[in-house]
Amino acid sequence: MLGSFLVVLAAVLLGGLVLVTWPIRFLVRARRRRRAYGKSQVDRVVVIGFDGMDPEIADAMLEAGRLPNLAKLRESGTYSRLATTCPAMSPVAWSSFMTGTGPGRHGIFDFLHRDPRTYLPDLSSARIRAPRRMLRLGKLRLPLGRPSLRLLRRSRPFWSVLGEHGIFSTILRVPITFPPERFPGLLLSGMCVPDLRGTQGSFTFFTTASDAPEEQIGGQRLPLIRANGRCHGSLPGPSLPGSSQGQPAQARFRLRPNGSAAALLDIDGQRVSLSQGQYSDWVPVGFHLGPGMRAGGICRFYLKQLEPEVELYVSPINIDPERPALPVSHPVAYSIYLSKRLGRYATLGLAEDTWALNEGVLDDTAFMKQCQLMFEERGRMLFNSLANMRSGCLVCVFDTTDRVQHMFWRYREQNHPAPLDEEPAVFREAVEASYQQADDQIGKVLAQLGERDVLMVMSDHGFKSFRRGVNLNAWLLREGYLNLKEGASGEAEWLRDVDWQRTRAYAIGLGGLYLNIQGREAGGVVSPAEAPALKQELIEKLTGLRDDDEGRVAINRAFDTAAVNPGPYADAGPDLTVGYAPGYRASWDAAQGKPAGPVIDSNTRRWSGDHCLDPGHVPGVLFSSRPLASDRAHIMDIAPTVLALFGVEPPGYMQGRSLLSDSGEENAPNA
Amino acid sequence: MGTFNTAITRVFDLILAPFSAHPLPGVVAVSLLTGILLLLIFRYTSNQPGIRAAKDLIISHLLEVLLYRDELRVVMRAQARLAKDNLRYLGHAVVPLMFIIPPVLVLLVQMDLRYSHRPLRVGEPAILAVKLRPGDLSPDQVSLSVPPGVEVETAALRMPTIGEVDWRLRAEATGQHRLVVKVGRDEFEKLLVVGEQRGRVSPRRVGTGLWQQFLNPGEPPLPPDGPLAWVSVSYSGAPFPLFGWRLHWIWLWLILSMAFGYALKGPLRVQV
Repeated sequence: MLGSFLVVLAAVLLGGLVLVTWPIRFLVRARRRRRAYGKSQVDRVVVIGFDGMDPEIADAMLEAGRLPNLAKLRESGTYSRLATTCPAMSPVAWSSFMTGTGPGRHGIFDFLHRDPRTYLPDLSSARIRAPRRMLRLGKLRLPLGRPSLRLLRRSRPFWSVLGEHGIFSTILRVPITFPPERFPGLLLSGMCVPDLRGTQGSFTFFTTASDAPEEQIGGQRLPLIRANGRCHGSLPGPSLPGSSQGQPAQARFRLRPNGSAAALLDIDGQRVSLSQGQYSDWVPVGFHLGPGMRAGGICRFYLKQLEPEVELYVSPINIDPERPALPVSHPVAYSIYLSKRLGRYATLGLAEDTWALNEGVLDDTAFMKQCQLMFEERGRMLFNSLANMRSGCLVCVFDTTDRVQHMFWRYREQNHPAPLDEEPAVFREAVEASYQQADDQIGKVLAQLGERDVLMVMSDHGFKSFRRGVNLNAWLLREGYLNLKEGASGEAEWLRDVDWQRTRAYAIGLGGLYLNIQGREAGGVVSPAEAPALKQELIEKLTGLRDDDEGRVAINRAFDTAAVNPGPYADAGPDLTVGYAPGYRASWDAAQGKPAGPVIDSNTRRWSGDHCLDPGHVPGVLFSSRPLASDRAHIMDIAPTVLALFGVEPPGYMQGRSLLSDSGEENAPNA
Repeated sequence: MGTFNTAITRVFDLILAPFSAHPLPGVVAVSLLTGILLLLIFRYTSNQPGIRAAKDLIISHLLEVLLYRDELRVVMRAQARLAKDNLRYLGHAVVPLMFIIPPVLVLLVQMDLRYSHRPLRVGEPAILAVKLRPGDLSPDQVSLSVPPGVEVETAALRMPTIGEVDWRLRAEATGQHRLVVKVGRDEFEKLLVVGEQRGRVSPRRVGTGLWQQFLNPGEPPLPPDGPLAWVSVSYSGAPFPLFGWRLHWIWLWLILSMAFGYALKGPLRVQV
């Protein structure tokens, strides 16, 4: 009651303050607005990104009249291909989108980069370090301070430039915005936000069928103990502070079947009703880390089955937006606001759990439901922001199109080597359905826009089939560029079997190949003087590499990364970037750094579509409600175009050109 | 009502027995119990998800005002929504309030009985007032008889227009003294507590009226068909000294029970 009274009091005071200061604020705002929007051609620019929307699929659907709202944009404004970055990966492309620069200037070349001191992969976009100082009390270790966070992306995003000119922006879930940067606006971080365990998303799958824990890619399979008609288990959370083995904190739970297709879950003092085949709402779960220390996250539970064995899927434990263990928004209050206003939501960068489907923990239907939930969450955020902004820039990225294409491409084409779990007819149109859903969203956005608003719809890259995987390390091993330690099999992950003293080149990530250069790598053997010749030799050998089993070219071309991505941070990238032919990509063993096995093999995972190939084959799309000079449009052009719409001169570091006229400078020779 | 009062008073005597040496621990203990009791009542009688949703929206509107402070339209809309959701929140609190008010009233009355007044000190004067029911009786028919240990300092002050008779007494010895008020041939007792030790102090013994009887549980009610409306003794108040201030117990109780409530609402998982 008192709280309510205080809220009323605070509201009345705030209201009074707003009213009393309104004339002054009006004058200040009018002046500021005149200055900020004096040269602006628009009130609002709304940029909606659909990750991975492919122009070939879009063309076919436009032709068939299945994307009526995007067709409206095409007719009244613009529709074109949007050239992507080299390599064609989301972290790279979205970084170029926001900064108007190529990878050589923003420093992001892949999802992963390698630490030349250890050859181990690391997240390319952010560095998260545990607190350095610990207070030791016997066995107990208490962290002194908070984890350190550092965004590794360089150059400034265009919304920061807009903010400098007094133009407010709201940025929703654009990849590579974690940790969030300060700027005059609101931002909710996207891809690369970790889960509470510090990973990029680790599911937990509990089953009574097994009594031993088992590591799986992207998660864990843990035993569910059945006793007296109930089951109990322990959900692993973040690592305990100071634990040398990375021992996780645990949240114990009990599961009580409640009828044939439902159960009651007791966890962290809450009782959650679960229905078989349905996701629970987000459930806040706390983990006790030590005296006075508790870390809270949120997760969804999915009761897969109760008979004959009980199977329970738990989503990655997302950072709770209401009590963020790490900041996921700027300002911090923004994530809290969205959660309080719209309900809890996924904060994990890669929120749709593709690994759980890849590992067979979730089935196609369950994964699709998860995608649907994420799409709806994002939509609520978008329309909330749209309603709250009469002027400024709004950017929102939807990931569902990307995830659905990754996981359901196998239903689109006959004889894809990946398994089909359902009748092909059920999901044959899954990709098209996700495009139609995107189109519906655009229709709703269009309905809320005025004459002085501009809508741009774009994607960071397109999509192709992923039928065959190329293990570059296996190729390097076969060709003698990479050698294994005496007696090693090459099965160990992350190149642990590699004899660095006898290795001249190695591959890490989904498209990068590095030379083992003296003075740069810890065990470097290639002298800097030899490097250009070795690079050229590899380019020649890799370009046109054939897949003899299929009788096709597997690699279209290999790029000298520094040459195609010039800039002050070019040395942060790989020496070579491999442009795979459509149908090919780095294999799963290559992604895990295992040199053993065949060079080219069939992809039998459910992750069956991809875009990490020759960028010329996977351009994105660009729609706009305003006509743009869009021939040869590049993703780097979006930032200067948005700035130009607001009458702001693009900064000199931007390599893209405004699409408002044909007279702009040419793009850098990127892709 | 007399039986109810006796039973409740005994329960409170039992609860507060360990804290009889000093009143402050008693108030703290009752505040803690109050906090827990109210939280539990709130938890089981309120629409907890509804309260949570209303609170979330209220906070979101406040944050909206801060985040979109340059958008006057958004700020004004947030204010309006804030008022609306606050009403919704208050609406959710109505039902639990219905359940909370009765036990809180009982508790306040019992606390008042123990902590509002202190016994008379030896040598301290007090006024004994007797109020007659409206009727044929005259204040002249009222007399007072006191036991040893109590002095009557003044002659009776009879006020026929309001039907009241007052005496000034002085306590001469510690103890619980029974004063006897005579009206005609009828006799009525009133307890007078003298001493240094805090305890139950009943300033007024009342006759008819359930509400009055509920509010004055320290002594059995006067006969309903008798000539007296009430008999009262003017005990001194008993504020708590706290950081140089002298606080009425109710403020201490209010602050402490709220503090305990807020501290325990998390562990007890109650949305307030």
